[in-house]
Amino acid sequence: MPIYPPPSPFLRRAAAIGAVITGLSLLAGCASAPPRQAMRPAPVYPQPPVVPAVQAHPLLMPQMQEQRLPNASQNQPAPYDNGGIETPNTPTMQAMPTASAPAVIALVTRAEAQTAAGDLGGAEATLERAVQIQPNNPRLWLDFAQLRLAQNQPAQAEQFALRAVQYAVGNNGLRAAWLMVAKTRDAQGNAIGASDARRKAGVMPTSPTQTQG
Amino acid sequence: MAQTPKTSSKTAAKSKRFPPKKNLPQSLGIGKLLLKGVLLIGLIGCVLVGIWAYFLNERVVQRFSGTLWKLPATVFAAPQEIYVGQHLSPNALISDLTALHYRDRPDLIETGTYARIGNEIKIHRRAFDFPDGNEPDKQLRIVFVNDEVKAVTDAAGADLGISRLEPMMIGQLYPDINEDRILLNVEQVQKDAPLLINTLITVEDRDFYTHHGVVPSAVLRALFVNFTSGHTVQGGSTITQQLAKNLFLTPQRSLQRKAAEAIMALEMEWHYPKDKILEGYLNEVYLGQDGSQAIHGFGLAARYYFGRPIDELRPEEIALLVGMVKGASFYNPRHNPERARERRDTVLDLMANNGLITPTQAGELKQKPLGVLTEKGTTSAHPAFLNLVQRQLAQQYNPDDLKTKGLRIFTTMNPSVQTALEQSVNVLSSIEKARKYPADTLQTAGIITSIGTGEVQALIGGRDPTFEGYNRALDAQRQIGSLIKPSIYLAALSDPAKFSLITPLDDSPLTVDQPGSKPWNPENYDRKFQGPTPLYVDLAQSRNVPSIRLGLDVGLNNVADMLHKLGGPAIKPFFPSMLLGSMTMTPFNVAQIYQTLSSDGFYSPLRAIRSVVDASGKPLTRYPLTVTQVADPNALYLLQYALQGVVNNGTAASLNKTIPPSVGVAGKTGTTNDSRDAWFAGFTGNRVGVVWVGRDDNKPTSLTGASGALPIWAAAFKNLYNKPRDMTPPKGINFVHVDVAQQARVPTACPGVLIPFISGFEPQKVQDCQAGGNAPSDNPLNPILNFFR
Repeated sequence: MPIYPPPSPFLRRAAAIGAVITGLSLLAGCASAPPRQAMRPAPVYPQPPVVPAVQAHPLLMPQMQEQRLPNASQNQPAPYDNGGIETPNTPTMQAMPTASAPAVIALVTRAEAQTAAGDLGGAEATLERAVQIQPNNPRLWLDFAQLRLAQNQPAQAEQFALRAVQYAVGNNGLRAAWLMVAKTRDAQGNAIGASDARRKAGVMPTSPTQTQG
Repeated sequence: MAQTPKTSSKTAAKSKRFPPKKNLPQSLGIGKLLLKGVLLIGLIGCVLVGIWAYFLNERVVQRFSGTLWKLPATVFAAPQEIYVGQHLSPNALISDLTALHYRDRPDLIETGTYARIGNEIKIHRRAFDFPDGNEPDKQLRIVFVNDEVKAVTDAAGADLGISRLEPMMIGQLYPDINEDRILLNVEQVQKDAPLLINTLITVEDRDFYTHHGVVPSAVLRALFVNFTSGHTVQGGSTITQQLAKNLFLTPQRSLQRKAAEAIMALEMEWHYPKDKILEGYLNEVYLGQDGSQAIHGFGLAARYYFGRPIDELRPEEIALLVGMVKGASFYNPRHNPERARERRDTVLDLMANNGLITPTQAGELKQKPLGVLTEKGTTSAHPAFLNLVQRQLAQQYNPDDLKTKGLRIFTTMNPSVQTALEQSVNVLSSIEKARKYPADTLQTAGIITSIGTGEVQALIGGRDPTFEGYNRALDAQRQIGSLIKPSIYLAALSDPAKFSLITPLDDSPLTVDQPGSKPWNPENYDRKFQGPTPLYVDLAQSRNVPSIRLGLDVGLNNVADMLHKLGGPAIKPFFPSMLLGSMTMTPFNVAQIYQTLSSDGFYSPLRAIRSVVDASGKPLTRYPLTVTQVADPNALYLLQYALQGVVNNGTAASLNKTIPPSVGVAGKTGTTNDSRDAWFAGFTGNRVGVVWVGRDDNKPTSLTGASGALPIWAAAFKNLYNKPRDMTPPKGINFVHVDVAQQARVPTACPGVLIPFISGFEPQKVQDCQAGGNAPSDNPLNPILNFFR
C-alpha cells in the first residue's frame, strides 16, 4: 500500500515549511532541557520504611540552554481563540536530556534535508532512527506529526502529536504539542477537537504537584 | 555459411529437371550421382543446422534480452548504529565488525578494516546503499569512555554525531530453482577488482578480447585429444563457450552439445559486446554448493568463502576462486584444502608468469593459508525470524516476485539481541536437570521488541533456534494465565473515581455463578485468603480471587475491550474464567499487548520489516511506524508502577538477582493450570521481552512463570544493555504520601508510602501520625491494619 507517489508541489511546500520549523526547534530541543525530575520510588510492600528500595537514575544533561521555537501560529492560517494567553513569546521545546543529543541533532538535520528534497520516505526512515534512540523526545514526535501532515495523513499526524503531548516538558512544550494537535485536527475537519486542543494549549496551568515527592 | 550450399542447390535442382544426355559415359554418370547425393545431404544438413542455429539464436536473444537470472530476495538485519551517548563497549563493536568480516588492519587502506588503539576504534567502513540513501565508504573514528561512545568523527575529525555500519545479510528467499548469486556489474568489477578479471582471463581464456566466441585451433586440438584418449576430455572452451554451456546446456559431454555450445557462443559474440558476456560469466560460473543451494558467480563465492565483497579480495584469494572454476567441488577449499591449495599456487604462478604479480609476490603469497572461513560467510540462520518476515511480506507481495526479482528486504532484527535470545534457551537444559525431567521435555518461544516503535528485534520459535519447523512464537496457541491481569487492572485504574492503587480489594472465598455450568470457586495460587489487600499488592502478588472480583466489578466487557485495545484478540463472549487467562494466545499476540503497555498506551503494530527496495535500489514499500493512543496515559502510569512492583517485591522478585533493580523492570509472570504454561512478559527502558515455556503435548510441568520463563528472559536481557525505565510521571499524576491502611494522606514524617494518584483523585482524608506508628488499641480494624504494617 504505502508506495510513495511523487509529492505534489503543495506537499513539497508544506514539507519545506515543516522542515524549517522542525529544524529550528530541534536545535533548541537537543541543546536544552531542564534536568529531569528525580525518579519516583518504586512501590514498596509492605508499608514502611519510607525509603524506597528501588530508585532509577535520572538521565541528566549537564548544561542546558533554551532556544526558541518559531511561533507555531505563523504557519497556522486559520485564526483561533487562544484564550488571551498567547504572547509574543514563542513556545519552546526541550529534548530528552541525554548524552545522545548530538546523534539526534544529526539525524533531524538529515531528515530536514530529505524533507526539503521531497524525499519524505527517507525523512521518515531517518526520524525512526532518531526515535529508536530517544523514544521519549517530544520534539521527534512533533516532527513525525509534521511529516505525516506533509504526507497527507492527518489522522496519523494527530496520534503522533498526542504522543508529543505525552512527553512534552514545561508549559511551552505542552503548548507547542497541543497546537500541533489542533493543526492536525483542523486538517481532518474536526473543528471542535481543534478548538479543544487550542484551549489546552492556551490555558494549561502549571501543575504544582509536579514538584512534589 | 549458408550462402555456398544454396548456390549449389540451385544447380542440383536444375540438373534434376534436365536429365543428362544418354551418350555420356556411364562412369561419369555414377560420379555425378554421387556428387548429387553428397550435395543433397550437404544441403539438407546445412538447412537443418541453419534451422537449429536459428532456434539456438532465439534462446540466446530471449535469455539476454530479459533478466538473465532469477534473483532471490536478500534479507538484511537492522544496521548497527554508532552514536554519541550510546552504551556500547569497544569489544562489542569489534564483535559486530568481526561478524561483518572486517579485518584488523592498522593502515585502514581497504574498506572492511578497523584498528583499535586503546579506547578508540577506527573503521574503514564499506559503502552501502540504504533505502533512505547511500552511505559512502568512509573512515570513522569512535572514541569510548567507560563503554559509552563519546565521539563519532570522520577521518578529518569532523563530528558526525551518528553513523552506521552496513547491515548484516541474514538470509535469502529463494525461488524453487536452487540457485543463488550476488549480482556483479562488470564496470564495477573492472574498477574495483581488475585483478579478478585479469586473472580469470589469463587462466581461462587468454584470447578472450580477440576471438569471436570460438577458437578453431583450440577446438581441433580438443577434438584430437578427445579422439586419441578414447573419451571426452574437457578443453578448448572459451569463456563465451563456457557461458553458453552454463546458461543453456546440460553438463553432459557430447559432440552435439559441443556443437550447440560453439554455435551459441558465435551467436552471443555476434549480438553482444565482450563486457556483457564477461558480466554474464562472472555471475553465472559455478563455484560450489551450499547444501541444496548452488553457489553461482564470484560475488556470492567471495561472500561464501571469505565473507567479503569482491573488491576486498586479496591476490591469493582471487587465485583460489579463479582456480576453482576448473572444478568447484574437486577443488573445494573446505573439503579438499590440499588440492585447493595446489590449484591456487598454480594460478599464482600463472599470474606471475603473465605479469599480474611479481614472482617474489607469488612466492610470498604461496606461503599464506587459504584463509577460507570455517563457517559459510553468506547467511546466518534465523529461520523463525525469517518466517515472520515472510509472513509480513506475503500480505503485500506475490510469492514469485518476492523470490525472483532480487528484492532487498530491510528488517528490524538486531543481531546481538537475536544472539542473546538464542543463547538464553540453554537455561532450559539446567531447569530440566534440576527437576530431573528427561532432556528436551520443555519447549520455549521468545520475542524481544523495541520500546516506542514496536520493532521486532529478536524472535525464537523453539529451543533449537536453527530449526526451520514449527514456529511457536507465531503459531503456538497457549493459555496466557495471569498475563491477562494488567488488562483488568488497567480497566479499573481508568476509572479513577472508583479505583486507585491503594483501593482495598477483598481476598476472601468467592463463588461465581455461571449460567449453564456449576458455580465456580476460584482459588489463589497458594490456596489461602488474605482479606482486604491494596490493589497494587494484589497485582504484584498476582492474587487470583481479588483480581476476579475486580474484573467482575469493572465489567467483563470492559476488560475484553481493554484487552482488544491493547492489541490482543477480540474475545466475545468473555467468560469469568478468562479473568484468569483461560483464553489462548500466541507469544506474538502477548508481545503486542505488552508493547502497548510499555509504550505509555500507544499501540504500534509489531513490525519485522522497515522497507523493501527493488534490485535497482528503488524503494517499493515502507512499513511505516504508526501509533494509536489506546489508553489513558495517567492510568497507564499507575499500572506500570504496579507492574514494577511485580519485579520489585512481587512474583518476579528473583529477577533482581540478574538485572540491577535500578533498571526498574516492569513485568508480569503467568502460570496456567497444572503449570502447563509458564510465561514472563516484561520491559526495560529500551526493550520488551516475552518468553513462554511449556510442553508441546500440553502436559503439566512443575514450573511457574517465575521458575520456568523468567530465567530465560533474565538470561537474554543480562547480556544486553538495559536502559533504566524513565519513570517521570505524566502531567496528570500526583505522588502523595499515604497511610494505606487508613486510606489517608499523612505528613511525610509519618510512616507511610509514596504512591502515585491521578490528580484530583488523591485520598481526601488527611491524618496525623499515629502515636509511635501504632494504631490505637481500641480500633476494631486492627487485624487488617496490622497486615498493612
